[in-house]
Amino acid sequence: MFSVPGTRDAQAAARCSRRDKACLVRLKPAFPCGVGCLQPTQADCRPALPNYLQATDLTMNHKTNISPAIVDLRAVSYHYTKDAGLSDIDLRVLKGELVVIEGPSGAGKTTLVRLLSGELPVQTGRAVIAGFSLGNSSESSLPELRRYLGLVFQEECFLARESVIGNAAVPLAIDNFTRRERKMRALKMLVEVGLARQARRKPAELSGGEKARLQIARALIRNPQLLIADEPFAHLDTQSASGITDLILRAHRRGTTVLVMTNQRHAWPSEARRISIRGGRLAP
Amino acid sequence: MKRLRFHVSQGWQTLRSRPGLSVLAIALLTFSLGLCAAVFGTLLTLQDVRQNLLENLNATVELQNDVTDKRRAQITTVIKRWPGVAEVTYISPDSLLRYHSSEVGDDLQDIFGGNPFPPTLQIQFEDISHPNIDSLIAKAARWEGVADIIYPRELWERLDIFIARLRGGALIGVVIILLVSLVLIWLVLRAQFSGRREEWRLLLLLGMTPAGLRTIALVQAVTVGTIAGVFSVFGVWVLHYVYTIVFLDQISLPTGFYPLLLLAGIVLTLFVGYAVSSKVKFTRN
Repeated sequence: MFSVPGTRDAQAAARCSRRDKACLVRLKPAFPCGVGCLQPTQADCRPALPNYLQATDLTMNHKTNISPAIVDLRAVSYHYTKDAGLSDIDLRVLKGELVVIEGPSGAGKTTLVRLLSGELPVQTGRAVIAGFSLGNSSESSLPELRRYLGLVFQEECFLARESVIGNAAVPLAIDNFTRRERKMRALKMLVEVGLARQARRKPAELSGGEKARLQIARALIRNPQLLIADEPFAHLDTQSASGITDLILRAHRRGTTVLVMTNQRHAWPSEARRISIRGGRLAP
Repeated sequence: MKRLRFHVSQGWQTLRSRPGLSVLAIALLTFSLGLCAAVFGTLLTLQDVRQNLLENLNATVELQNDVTDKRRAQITTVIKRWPGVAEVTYISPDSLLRYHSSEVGDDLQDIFGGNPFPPTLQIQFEDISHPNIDSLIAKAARWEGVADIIYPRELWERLDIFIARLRGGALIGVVIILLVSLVLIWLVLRAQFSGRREEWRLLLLLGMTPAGLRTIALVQAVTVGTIAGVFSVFGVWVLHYVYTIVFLDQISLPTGFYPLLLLAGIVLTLFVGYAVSSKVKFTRN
């Protein structure tokens, strides 16, 4: 997706000095169905990467991070202790890919997710996610990066006092959407994941499968560039797990790049790229 | 503004997450603000008492019996120019004789075989600075036409020392009360804030900035400050009302005292909120 010359984004980007990273970071991407949307229908619309992350601008502003891949890890390591952690991770995920990383518990899947989301720093190597270099990026650019990610956590992670609809809409509240818009989009998303009837409940009142679906709804509500799901089938029965798989695949078919970490063997479509992880190392 | 609404709702939810702690923080701040206001009111009352005493503690300049009216007028004019002097009154020997005779009940002129009282100037002070008064009075005692100057120096000094001690003690007390309660409120709010650590982690991972989380902590603290401020204003107003009824006397509180009390609550908790958020680690480990 490239910025359209003469659009509001392009004009705003032009006003920023090329070396003024802070100015560029302040620029917001085009909102769905706003100026600059190139998708044929409203349903296909998703936020564009900000202009400075588009391919043409990468050469200007992120000379060291030029990459067609949305995830580009090169010899990345992170160690909690001498033996535990990730070692020499090389991973390239292209835009629109579905990548499944399979491995047993303790293999380093969650560590990899935490690293990709910027929660853990890159100790050695180079990591570029959606154009953001994690190794060099300052703390201030992490929130910007995270707005392009949809995260599904292994553990239950909700705002306990918010309702289901409130939890689904949290990313939109962070993005400054109006209350009405948040509610409408969250409801639409809940209908999509089959949680519309539970919209007024609290997360604690949901079953395990429903919680997983709520996490997916929250992760997808922004139409993220990259969906990272960490053990989305943990503690779920086969039926619930296949429901979650369907939701993930639906998001993938719409063009979202998907990265799934799992310790269970699942039936994934043939286009899915499977990678194994053992002892903190990836093995294709 | 839209984003602030989310922060406000999260701050409010943090307070509701452990309501017992919220009540404790509000009660602590209400109590300490009320106590500070009460101490301030007491100091104002003491100031009134000091003023009343000063009005009754005069210095008396006894003039020589043969002093001329011109000289007396000169002395009066000079004394009026002294700093802190409110009024200088001339009391003639005859007035003094009449006053004291009526007090004693006998004609003192008959007893003493004449009027024993000298012409007198009575100096009323509005404010006292001891070294100043001492040097002025020592100088005035040597003036032509002045026989003696009598003034209750020791009483003034004791009064001032007493009031200074009370003021100092009150100030130290207020500072200690405020510090202790602020530390306790900080601990309480921090416990509340840290109790939602997992939720803050989630918000950060969803793209909220650390500054956003700090705003939530500030909202949480300022909400406590505002509620406690309102309660303490109400409490102090009731105390003031009761004092007026019981002692039939009114403490004249300065203009804007109640809004200032409310503002003090908010400002103090702003500091607490900042301290709460700055002690929680939001950055990468």
